[in-house]
Amino acid sequence: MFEKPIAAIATPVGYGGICVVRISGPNVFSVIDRVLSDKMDSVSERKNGTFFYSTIYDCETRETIDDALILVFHGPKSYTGEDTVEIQGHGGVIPAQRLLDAVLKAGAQLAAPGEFTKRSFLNGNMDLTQAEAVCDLIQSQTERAAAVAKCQLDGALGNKIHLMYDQIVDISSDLEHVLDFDEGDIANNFVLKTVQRIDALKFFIDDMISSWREGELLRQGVLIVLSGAPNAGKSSLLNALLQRNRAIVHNTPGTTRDIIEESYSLSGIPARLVDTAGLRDSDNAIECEGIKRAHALIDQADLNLLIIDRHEMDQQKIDSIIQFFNKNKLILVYNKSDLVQMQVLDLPANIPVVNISALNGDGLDYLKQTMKNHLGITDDFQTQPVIAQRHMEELRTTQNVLSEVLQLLKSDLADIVIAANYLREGSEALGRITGRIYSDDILDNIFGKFCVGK
Amino acid sequence: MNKRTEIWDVAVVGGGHAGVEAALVSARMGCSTLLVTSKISALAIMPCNPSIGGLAKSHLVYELDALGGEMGLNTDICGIQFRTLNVSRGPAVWATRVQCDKEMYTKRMQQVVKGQINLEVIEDQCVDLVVSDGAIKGLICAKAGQLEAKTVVLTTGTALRGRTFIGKEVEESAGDRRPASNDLSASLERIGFNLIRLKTGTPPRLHADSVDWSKTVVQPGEIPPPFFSMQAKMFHVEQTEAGKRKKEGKKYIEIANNNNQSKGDCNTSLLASDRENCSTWNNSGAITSSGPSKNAGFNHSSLFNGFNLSQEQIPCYLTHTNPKTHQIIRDNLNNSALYGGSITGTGVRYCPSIEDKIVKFAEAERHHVFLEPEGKDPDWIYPNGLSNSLPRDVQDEMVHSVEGLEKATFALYGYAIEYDSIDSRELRHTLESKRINSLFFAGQVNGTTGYEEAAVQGFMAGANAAIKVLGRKPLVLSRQEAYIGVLIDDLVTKGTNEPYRMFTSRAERRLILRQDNARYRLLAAAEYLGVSHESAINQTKFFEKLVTDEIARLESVRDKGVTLYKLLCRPDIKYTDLSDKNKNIPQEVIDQVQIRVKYQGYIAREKIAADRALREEHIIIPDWIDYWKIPSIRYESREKLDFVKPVNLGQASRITGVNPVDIAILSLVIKKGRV
Repeated sequence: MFEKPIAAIATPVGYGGICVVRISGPNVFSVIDRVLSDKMDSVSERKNGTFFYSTIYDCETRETIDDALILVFHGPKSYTGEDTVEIQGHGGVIPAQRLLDAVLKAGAQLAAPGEFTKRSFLNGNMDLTQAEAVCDLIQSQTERAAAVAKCQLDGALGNKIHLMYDQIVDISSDLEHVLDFDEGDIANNFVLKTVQRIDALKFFIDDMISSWREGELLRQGVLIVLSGAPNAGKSSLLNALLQRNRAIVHNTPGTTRDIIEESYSLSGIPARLVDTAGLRDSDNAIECEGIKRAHALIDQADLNLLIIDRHEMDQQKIDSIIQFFNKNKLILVYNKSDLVQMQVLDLPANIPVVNISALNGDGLDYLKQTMKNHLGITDDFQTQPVIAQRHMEELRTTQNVLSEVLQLLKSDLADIVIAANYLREGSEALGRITGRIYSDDILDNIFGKFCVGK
Repeated sequence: MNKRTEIWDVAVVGGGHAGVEAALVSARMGCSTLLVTSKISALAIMPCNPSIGGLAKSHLVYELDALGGEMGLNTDICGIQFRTLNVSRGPAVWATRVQCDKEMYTKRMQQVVKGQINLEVIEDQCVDLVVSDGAIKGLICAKAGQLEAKTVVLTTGTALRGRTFIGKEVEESAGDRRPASNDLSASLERIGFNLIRLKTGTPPRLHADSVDWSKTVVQPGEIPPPFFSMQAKMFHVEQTEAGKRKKEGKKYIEIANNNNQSKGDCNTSLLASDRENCSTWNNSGAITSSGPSKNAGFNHSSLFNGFNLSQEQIPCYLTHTNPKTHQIIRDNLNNSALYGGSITGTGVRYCPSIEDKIVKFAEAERHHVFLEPEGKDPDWIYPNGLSNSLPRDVQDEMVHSVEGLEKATFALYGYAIEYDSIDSRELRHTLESKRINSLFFAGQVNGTTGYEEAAVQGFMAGANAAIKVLGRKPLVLSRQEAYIGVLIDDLVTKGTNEPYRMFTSRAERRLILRQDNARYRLLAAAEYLGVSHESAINQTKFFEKLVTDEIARLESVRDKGVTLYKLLCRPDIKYTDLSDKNKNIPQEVIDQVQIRVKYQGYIAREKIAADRALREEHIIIPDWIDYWKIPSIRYESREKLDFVKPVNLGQASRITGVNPVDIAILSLVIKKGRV
């Protein structure tokens, strides 16, 4: 791979003002020279970070391909760390493909998905968490997700992990050093001190792991399902949350028969807000199917909002309906609080209850806050949560081995080799997060998720 | 004594711990062998510590013994105190350390060498090497002139341009009043070897009668003594079991005999030594009966020197350093010849000198000092733990600050020695030079320190030289098989710029690389070489079967529904706690069963980690790779790769300064199959 430069279209497929073809790697300048006019000086003569305008030719037929702007980057001061050229031609599917073909014909080879970023990682321009952040940033669905990805790209997560990695390597090397001495040669309090250092490190890792829940929500989004008896006001609430008339609202019970799903941002956490058919016994086949789907969604939901019309609901009805729900993922929403007096119902403990009026918007802010609390979403945009499954698994491995080491070192028969082995495992796990330690599989897995051209 | 051969199969230069092992193994493999030493009376001397073993080094000795080396047996025979270190830290780091009678150690080794058939020793000095067509052809000696040899093993120790430093006095010497060798250094440089200067040191010796023993604590030896060698163990079992067997009806012998009935040629006890079949235990008559490739001729009528090790071990005495000692050292760190720098976290690995300990464990208020006798009736004491390289007046002050040593007088001051060594990255894993065919290097000349490190290299170099002459497949032990493998791989891959000492932390598979199982894990290699005692090999196989059978039994027998195997896995359960024990198996087998069962899960886990790390070991770098034709690999990396010429991708990735992207490129070039 490394003697031919790689090339790909870096802009999305489709119509646009310009398209960008990116070429990187050894001999990239001589490849570009071949698609330029013979009379031009070699691109390699041009300074880093400059651009120029030129016609692009087919290197064999000398047919004119396009007029383009050509940006020149000299490694290591480029995205990949290698000599890189970006050609900005006219946008559109066909012009972009012609430009790419011309470059390939001149000696470049087509890049694999994520290969530019992989090279950047391999050349030491970014660590693995930063490389992953590139992918996350491109695919981010909310502003908050983008902000977190950007933060990670800037090295916030990487730096944290590097810090912990340095610590564990430090402890590990001290323990290894102890292996090289006889038991009588070592100060008695050495083990105690090691235990303290591991405790401190573990605290730090525990803290990172606790951010996972929110990180996971940020990455995968949450499924929030609105359900309840017919005509309880589910669709009204959906519209109120979305602040537009998405669902048809009518006082005929059973108006909503199919599932209505909308994207929603809950403090920057991407959410799927789903309105379901009213739960009741029905003879109508279509409505029955809708109710069946509603039950399936209720089971999948990260959070269920059970909408209850206060003046329609009594103790018996609520008992029969509440049995369908996982009590830990449930918020009761008493709608139409503007219409009736409160009546006291007997409910299982710990289920939050919110009074709203979907009609005039009363209690909506409080509902949002309750939903956030329930899902563990904070308004803390500053801290960097752990968002990738891969990072989480490595952190958990580290957490586990540290627990094992602590247990071992605190026991009377401290098999110090086993403790040292565990620490090695821990440092390797942390090393894999940032890519200090990596294998082909890890890289293929990570960069395979990328689009071509990044 | 052998008749003079025209062309020697193997010529060994140097008679230290490396040279002696090299010469013995080569002769025992049936190759005509010449050993050139400057002083026969100094064969395998101990110019530093009068002891063998210690952490990680002990593992090397057990491995060497399993393969058929001499160091373990010689130590057992000349030992005056035996101890197991690190008892509280788990079997993987248990280590045997044996104090030896310094005089006896060299004398007994001289006898073994002199009695070895196929081996001739001459007292001479090698001054030049004969090389043509990139291969070694022989040596030129000061007295004997030119000697032809098919292979040469250089084990020059500290002799190459050796200089000792005591205070400001500099002397041209290989240490211990042996001559330095300047000509050979020049010869190696002419051939193209790049020589580097290394420094090592030895602590002072104190007069035994100047120590106030009342202020020290007696440290007795361990009973029964932990032996290194399989032979000494067999001999000892025979002695201590003799009485027991009379009463118990010869159970062990029966088991052994039943097991070996089919073999016919070996129908004696595998638990005790086989005096009739073991040439080592025999007088001259054994030479013909045991064949030419066996070691032969040493008279063991006085094995253990008539010494009853259960009663008569010589104690060491324990005293401690104190804050005053530490202050003296701290104030003079800058004057330390060997220390010089400061420890910066990881990586720096000095031979644990007192300077090192004081910097690394700054809070410790005291460190152990073992006062070790240099013989059975010693004049000199070796203050182990005070290894240092400080100036004379500081040594005085420091030693006198230690309790019991207030009035100690010096028989010898600690000194540093500086000598030439080659860049060990010039060697293959067989310890043969890449530059000159059939020229092997072993011991301190490769940049190591320690008798044990030297001995194992000598053995491996001697064995591979003999293998080369015999046209057989080289014997290379991997990092996963032996500490010997770790040592040699480190040397040929990373090289060293300070004397390399074996450490536990250098190994990846240390739960499996234990001293207790050395004979089992190296059985195949030992059989391949064929220089171990047949009775020892047979016993290993026999024990291995007993261990496997017993583990299988433990897996099938249950106690209240739980298998005995599962019970034994628990940290608090010992074999003796089991409800259904096998009373017919010897202690060594019980120990093996216990350790293997208890470590099983951890070993499996360690293997996964090691396999992941060592996956690149399996990607062989083909011969056609020309690093200079791969421009995308950085220039500095190309230089290093071309110099080391790693055999596989794993070794390439361990080279200091070669970074991951270079390895990724190399990996791709290999996969593609062309440059």
